[in-house]
Amino acid sequence: MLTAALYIAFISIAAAIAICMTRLVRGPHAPDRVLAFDMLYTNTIALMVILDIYYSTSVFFEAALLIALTGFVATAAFARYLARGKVMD
Amino acid sequence: MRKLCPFPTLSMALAGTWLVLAGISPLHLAVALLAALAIPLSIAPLLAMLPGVRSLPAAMRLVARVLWDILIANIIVARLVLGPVSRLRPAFVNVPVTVTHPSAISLFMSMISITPGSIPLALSPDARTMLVHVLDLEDEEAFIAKVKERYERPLREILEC
Amino acid sequence: MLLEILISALLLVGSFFLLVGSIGLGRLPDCFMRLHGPTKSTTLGVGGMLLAAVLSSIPDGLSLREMLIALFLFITAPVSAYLIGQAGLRRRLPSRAPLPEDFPD
Repeated sequence: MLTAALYIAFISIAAAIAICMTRLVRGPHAPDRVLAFDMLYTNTIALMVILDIYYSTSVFFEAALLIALTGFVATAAFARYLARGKVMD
Repeated sequence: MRKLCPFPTLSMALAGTWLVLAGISPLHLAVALLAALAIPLSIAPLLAMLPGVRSLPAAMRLVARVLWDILIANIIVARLVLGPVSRLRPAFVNVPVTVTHPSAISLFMSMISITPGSIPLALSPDARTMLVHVLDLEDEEAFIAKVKERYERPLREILEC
Repeated sequence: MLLEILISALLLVGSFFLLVGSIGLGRLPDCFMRLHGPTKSTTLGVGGMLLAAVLSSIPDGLSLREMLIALFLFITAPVSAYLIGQAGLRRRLPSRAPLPEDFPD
């Protein structure tokens, strides 16, 4: 049963990533693309967690943590740049 | 003791985080102890600006309420997103802010963004009003009253500011 | 057995809300409305997933590390939503709700 749940979760996350990718490509504005990127890295974290449970290891944990940290900084920097034209004052 | 460890809660949280991340062993206990003592001291000027917490039980109750609201908010937003889009009534609302401490304001803004379908987008220069985008607004007055009653009042009671 | 049911349920709930957030991102008509999907689903969607991971670690020694990611995302989700919203306001993106004339900075 756990395997079935893992497969369903895997497929939903894959669909979610596909939707984020279309939004990333279609835009239409730069903030939309940043938002799509934000959702994309969140979904990737979920994917890592599914793989972790599936292989019952924890090798993906560090990757998920790093994606969470760098993803937030990247989103913040992109959004700041779009709002002010520079990242830091 | 007070001088060596001026922020016991933060020190405990830091040591706990380290042990959760690294696992429990004598070496990691030593590193955790070092982090718990050194980090608060090195950022003491920054910590001095934070408001104190008046009552821990009330703060815990607020945290529990926020966690519960996250669940409700997700279900409501899921219904709005999957339902007919043309029936949504998005609106910008100006919410008056009465808490004055910067930490209290940022906590208030974070809490608003997890209530059903509302995201704070801007704060006026005098920090008296905040602009909130609501996904499906029924009654502006009721929305403002709800967030102020549910989040701002407990914040003002809990934080010393 | 009970643990397995709980893990499966959390996985399904988490992935459902992440999918809903992404559908919101793809479906809603303007940038400010699209902000709502990702902000909400990050919290509960990833929170549920990570809780499932914590529970699945119980047989070989409970590890709470996954909750750190969830905590980090709980704290950062409102901040990134706020920053993207600021970018949208400053660029005066098209919006179904009438944009305020002079928004505070």
